[in-house]
Amino acid sequence: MAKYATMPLIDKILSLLDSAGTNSSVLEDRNTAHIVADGQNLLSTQAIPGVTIDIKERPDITIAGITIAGEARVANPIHFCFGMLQRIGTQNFRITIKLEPHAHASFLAHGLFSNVEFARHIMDQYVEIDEGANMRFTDSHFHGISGGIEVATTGKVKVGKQARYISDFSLTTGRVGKLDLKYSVQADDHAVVELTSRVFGHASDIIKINEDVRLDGLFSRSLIKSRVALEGEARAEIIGTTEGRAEGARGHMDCMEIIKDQAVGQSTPSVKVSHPLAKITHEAAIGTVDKQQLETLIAHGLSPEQAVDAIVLGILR
Amino acid sequence: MSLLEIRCVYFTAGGKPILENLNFTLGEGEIHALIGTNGTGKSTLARLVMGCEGYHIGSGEIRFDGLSINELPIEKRAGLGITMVWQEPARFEGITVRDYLSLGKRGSDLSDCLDSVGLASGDYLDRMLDNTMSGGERKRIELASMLALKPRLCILDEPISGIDLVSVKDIVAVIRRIQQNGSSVLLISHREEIASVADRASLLCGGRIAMTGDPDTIVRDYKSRHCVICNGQICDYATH
Repeated sequence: MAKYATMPLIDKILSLLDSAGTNSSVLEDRNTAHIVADGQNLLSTQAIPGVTIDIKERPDITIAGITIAGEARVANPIHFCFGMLQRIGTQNFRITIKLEPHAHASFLAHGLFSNVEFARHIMDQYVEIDEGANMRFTDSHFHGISGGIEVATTGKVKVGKQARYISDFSLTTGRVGKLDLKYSVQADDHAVVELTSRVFGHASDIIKINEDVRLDGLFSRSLIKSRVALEGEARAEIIGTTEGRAEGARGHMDCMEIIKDQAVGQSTPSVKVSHPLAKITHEAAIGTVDKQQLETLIAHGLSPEQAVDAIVLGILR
Repeated sequence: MSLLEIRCVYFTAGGKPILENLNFTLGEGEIHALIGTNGTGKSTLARLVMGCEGYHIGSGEIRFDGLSINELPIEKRAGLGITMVWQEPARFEGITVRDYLSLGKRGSDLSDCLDSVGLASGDYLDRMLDNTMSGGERKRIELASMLALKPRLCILDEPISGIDLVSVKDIVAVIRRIQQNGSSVLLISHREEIASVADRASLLCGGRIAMTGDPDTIVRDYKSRHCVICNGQICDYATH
């Protein structure tokens, strides 16, 4: 059952969610699990059959434990609605997610920070996906025009045998501010891992993405995909590491950065292979908008500015 | 009056002559095939007409519908109704076939455009124009975009490269459809079998138009590899 605190606050957060393009009425659905918070204030939680939510609130941090029962097929995505209504503040969450064997669940996390001027959002995740389980985690941030926000997200993920973990982080609306995204994933036999990040940096935004996948299991597979667009004086440093440590392990890293103005992008792929039958590949492309793509769209009737926007927004979709 | 008129055009790249004293016309509603071996300057001519970056004629004039377009950037030329299908069409992440065919907003029936190039709209409209698409599929999408866009001048650079022999007749039918849509077509190819669709054909040899005439005659000379300018083997760059 939903546990609602101060109603006007939750109405305001839900309004931000609507503005971000998600119909907030989804949180009124009794079959949809959720956690809603404004800063450090927990506004609502709802567990459903098969989804257990355990919350511990402390003044400086909120600790949430979520367990998906074995064999459970959670039909609706579990929503994390984390926002901040104040212009200044800190939000610090530690979330532990466990999918028991053969459970299936998807999560939609909404970072609603369009009102803030100076704020920190800290999110530490510990994820354990048991054998045969399947988890999809989509984390979409919506920021305002102030570059005074810092986002520090870490994830430590264990993907069990024949399990699957797919994560998709996006921050393409508003100023990034400072982003520090660190993911570390370990994959067991026949596990599948996909990490995608999409970020659009403007002005003096600073972006650091560091993703590390260790393919320990036989025939485990992974893809790290980064798509970053930069303009103004924004800076991005993308580090991707994949380590193949078992027979049949296959990993690929794919980084693309489009740079405009005085922005600076850097990509550092790191490949480690410690088993002769493992194989890791990588590709990286950093530069301005591709000339032929640009001319093709212009030849189809777009202005040069519209063509650049279409290409940049395309890679961030 | 010709829709496209190219007069005494010279173009060099890195000090090397690519096109020399090139003269060429294309009439309104005409399909004009420009054939020649690899490296004769066909794609260069296409880019010069389109106004691509780095392709500006050294001397001479390109006129479109009576207007000199020498100084016009690519977007202005596109605004006049000139467009082009590149030999290797660009791939786009995050842009669907539907998005792409809707560019230009001519109100065309997108499903019909796809059906015309042999692609089922239900399978393709929501697909991305990225690396998941084969070269042949991408090329057909590009031809479908010409049907959707209805340009005044459609430059097709090697439209059958990457297309299997069996499908060439399908592409010929699409090119006819583009013409029936009201577009004129500059059809560039090193494969002579496509020239049969044209109203006229020209043979490009050594950076010059060696001859212009009915497609059968031009193809016969092309197949014999005989150049009337140098009275010898059809050659690549401007060596006459």
